[in-house]
Amino acid sequence: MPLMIEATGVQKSFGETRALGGLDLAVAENRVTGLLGPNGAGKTTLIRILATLLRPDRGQARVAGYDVTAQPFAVRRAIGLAGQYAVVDETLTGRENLEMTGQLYRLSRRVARERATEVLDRLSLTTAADRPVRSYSGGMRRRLDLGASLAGRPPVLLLDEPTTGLDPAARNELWAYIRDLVAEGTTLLLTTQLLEEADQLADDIVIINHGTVVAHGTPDELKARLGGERAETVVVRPSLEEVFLTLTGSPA
Amino acid sequence: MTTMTLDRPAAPVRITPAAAVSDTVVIARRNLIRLRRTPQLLVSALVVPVMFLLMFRYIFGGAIPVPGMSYVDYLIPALLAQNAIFDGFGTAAAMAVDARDGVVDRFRALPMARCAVLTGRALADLLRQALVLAVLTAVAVGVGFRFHTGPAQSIAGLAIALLFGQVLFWAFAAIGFGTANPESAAALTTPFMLLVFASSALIPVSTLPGWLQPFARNQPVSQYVDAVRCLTQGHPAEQLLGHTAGYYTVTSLLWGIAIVLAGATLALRAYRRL
Repeated sequence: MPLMIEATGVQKSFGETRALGGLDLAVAENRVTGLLGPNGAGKTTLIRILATLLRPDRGQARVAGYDVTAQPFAVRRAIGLAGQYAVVDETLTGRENLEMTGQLYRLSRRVARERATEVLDRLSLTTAADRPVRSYSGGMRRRLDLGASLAGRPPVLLLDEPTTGLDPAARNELWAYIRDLVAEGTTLLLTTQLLEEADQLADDIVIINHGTVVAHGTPDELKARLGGERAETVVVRPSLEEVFLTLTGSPA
Repeated sequence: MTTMTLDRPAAPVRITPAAAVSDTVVIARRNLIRLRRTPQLLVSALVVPVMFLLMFRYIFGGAIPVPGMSYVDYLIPALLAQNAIFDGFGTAAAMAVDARDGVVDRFRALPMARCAVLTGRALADLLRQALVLAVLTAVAVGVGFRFHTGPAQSIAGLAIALLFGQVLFWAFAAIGFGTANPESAAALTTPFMLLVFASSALIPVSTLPGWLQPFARNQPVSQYVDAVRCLTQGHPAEQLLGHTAGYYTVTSLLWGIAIVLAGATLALRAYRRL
């Protein structure tokens, strides 16, 4: 299966602070990879490098087969970025926001309009489509924000903490949409602080700390591995949270 | 629920000039829709210039003699040109907010012409300022202002006033993206007010202290103001100011080139670093 995201030895420093210290990552097509790590581990820096917003100091990163430094324009056509970065404008309606993002994805006005209707429908925003976004609830806004990154139907989605701040119901709803997208072939890299989110959505988990990968595997593999290491203790099948805390050395 | 198939991006494509124009229009529309839906923005764009106009026309104006011209004819061309400065304060603040909140980041991750984030806003500013200029001119005529030159020259005068807004846009864009913080942006734009007061805009330069006169006479605000003045008032203005409309038009354009080069360089550098 081809790799849709491939990072080798990616390094990035901001002044004296090393954000990424030779990070390797491989995400196969149509897989969901959850990127976990404590605050400051380098998650957002990695997402920004993959989204062509930052250049790595060393190492290589390819998205959908294109090099992020040498072919940034091709990478931008292949990705959708959502999460902490809100592109939706409050005074515009949901539909207008999606149409404009579609046009910026290089779609014609007509296709952008059709695509906006389609996205509104699949994200259950049709009834609110022509209302200004400022009247939307937090959950609707996040859905629209996710929708904006879908306007160009990118094969790779980069979601940076997509459900932070949402209530459990809105979160479940968004997870359902994300699962649908993956079922249709989208490759997804998602950072999250919620281990339950990673457990629910991700096929693979990559845990990073201090800018390097400290563990990677399926949720079950990680749990089994840590359970094995601790066979002499009481915990046999630790939760993902216990795996995370053990590997990143964060206080329990 | 509709199902969506995924587009496989074709071979890498570069941004064509046509795409850059189309992206500029999209960004401009986004800003103009915001203006239409938030009428307060338009009102606040008009309040300061109309207040200035009435204040100087009816309160201070009587105390300011201008040889060979009525004060209202002296004043109004300056207000038309200096509006670019007051209007630009809002642009700098709005761009600082966009930079701070990650709106710019999200645009930069789209396969769009990167310059459109700047040129789209410049186009929206041009259209908004043209609207403000039209209202201001109508009010000015209402309080006694007259064009004393032919239509071609008068229109050229108004065009110079709009050009000033486009020139200053790049300075304000550099401040907005450079600070990425609306409070810092305001701290850097407020001193532009001094350029208005230490210029020929509101009073003849000959009334200023001698040491200030060379600066006041040659700084960019005076060049643009005096160009608009000569183009709309003709001979009396040229006689009072000492140079022809052509002279002030050329000095305005030269200042314009210098400001755009410096401003765009700084704005683009700040934009790339965001």
